[in-house]
Amino acid sequence: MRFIKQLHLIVAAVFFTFFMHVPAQAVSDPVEQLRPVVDRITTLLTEADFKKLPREEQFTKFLNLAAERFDFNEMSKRVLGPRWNSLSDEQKQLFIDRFSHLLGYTYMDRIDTYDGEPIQYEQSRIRGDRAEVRTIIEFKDGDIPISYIMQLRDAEWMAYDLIVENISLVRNYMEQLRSILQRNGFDGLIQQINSKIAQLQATKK
Amino acid sequence: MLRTARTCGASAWLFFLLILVAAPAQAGSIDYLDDASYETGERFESIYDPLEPFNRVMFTFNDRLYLWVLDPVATGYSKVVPVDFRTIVSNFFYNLSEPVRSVNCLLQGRLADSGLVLSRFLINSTAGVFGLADPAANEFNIHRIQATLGQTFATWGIGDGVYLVVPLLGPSTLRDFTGAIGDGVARGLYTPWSDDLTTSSTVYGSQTINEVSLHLGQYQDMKAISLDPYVAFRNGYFQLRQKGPRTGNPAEFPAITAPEFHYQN
Repeated sequence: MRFIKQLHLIVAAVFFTFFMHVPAQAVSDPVEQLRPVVDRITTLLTEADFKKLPREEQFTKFLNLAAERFDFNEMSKRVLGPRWNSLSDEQKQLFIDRFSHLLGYTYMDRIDTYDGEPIQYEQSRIRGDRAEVRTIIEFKDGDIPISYIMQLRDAEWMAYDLIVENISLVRNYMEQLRSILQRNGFDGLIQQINSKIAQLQATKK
Repeated sequence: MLRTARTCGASAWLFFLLILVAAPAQAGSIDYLDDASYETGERFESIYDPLEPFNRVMFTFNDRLYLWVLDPVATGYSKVVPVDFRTIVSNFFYNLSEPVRSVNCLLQGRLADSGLVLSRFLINSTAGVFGLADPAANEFNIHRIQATLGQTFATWGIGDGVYLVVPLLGPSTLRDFTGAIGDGVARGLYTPWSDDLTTSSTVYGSQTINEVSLHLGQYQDMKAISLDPYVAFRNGYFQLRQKGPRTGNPAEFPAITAPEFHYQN
C-alpha cells in the first residue's frame, strides 16, 4: 500500500520534471501578455491628468506603452511588401518612425472615446508562432471587435496587425501605400504620411 | 407600375452586362495567421476596378452628400429621436425584406436558413408588432441571417464583374448592385409605396437617414485615418466581403448595405 503511494509520488515527480522541460514559449499565452498592456493603455486614456495633456504628449505616452506589445518593424515590413527590401536602412528607419506615428494616432483615435467600458477577451487562436487575440469593446452604441494578430519573438508575443471591425489595418494601408508609391515614389509617400499625421495631430476630438 | 417595369428593364440590361464581364466567383476566406493574406502580387488583389476614374467621381459625390446632407440631417435626427426608437425603425425596414432573404436562401440551396428567415418574418410580424421588435432573436434565439441576390448570383458562379461606386448607395460591384436592384424590385412587389416614386424615395431616404444615425461618426473616422480614402474604402469593402464563410457556403459573405455608413457585419 505504502509502495503504491510512493509510486504515485514518483510518477508525479517524473511528470513534473518532464513538463518543466517544455520550452517557455509554449507556455506563454498571448492573451496574458496582451491584456496587461491593453489594460494600462485604457487606464491611461481614462485618466483625468492624461486628458489635460497636449495631444502630442498624450501621443508620446501612448506610443511608448503600445511599443511594448506592438512590433512596428514587422508592421512596416508587411505594409510595404516587396518594396521594403529595396529601401536603404535610413529609409527603413524613417518609414518605421512615420508609419508607427500614423498607426498610433489611428489606434488612439479609435479607442479614445473609451470610458471604462468592459473589454471581452475571446478565445485566442494560436498556430505555430502566430496568434490571433480577439477582443470586443462593449460601447454603449454597439460592440467594436478588435483583433490583434501577433507573432512570437523569444517568448514575447508582439502584435503586427490590428483587425478593427473585420478590417485589417495593415492590409488596408498596404493597398493605399502601393498606389501612392507607384505614383509619387518613396519621398512622396513620406510627405503624404507626414501631412496626414499633421492633420491627425491637429484634430482635437 | 410603370416605374417597376422600367426598373426591371434596367436590371435586365445590367444583368446582361454582368454576364458579359462575369469572371469566376471568388471563394474562400482570409486567414490572418497566414502570411499569404498579406502578400502582394496578382493573387491577392483587390476588386477589379477599371472604372476607377468614374468611381472616384461618384465617391466624391457620395462623400459630399454624406458630409453636407446626410450627416447633418442624421445628427439632428439622432438628437430628436431616441436611439430605442431608431432601432425600432431599423427593425421595421429589416423585417420588411425578410421574405426576399428567404427566397434568396432557397435560390442558394440553404433550405434550413430559408425556413429560419421565414419563421423570423412570421414571429416578428406578429409577436414583434409589424417587425418593430425582434422577438425572434431575443426570445426564440433565431438570429439575423443574411441573404442577398448578389450572394445568390455568386452561388451560381457569377463573378463580381467590376467594382462600382453607386451614387447614394456606396461601394458595390456590378454583380451586387444588380442583385440589390433585383432585391428592391422583389420587395416592391409587396410593399404598398413602391408604385409612387415620391413615396418610395421618401421611404428610402428616411431609411437611410435612420441607418446613418445609428452609425454616426464611423465614416468620418475611417476617412480621417486614410491616406487615400477612395482606396481605403474599396479595400475595406473587399475585406468585409472576404470574411466568411459562415454557413459552409463559400459564396456567403456578410451582406453589406451602404458600407460607408456601416462597418459592422
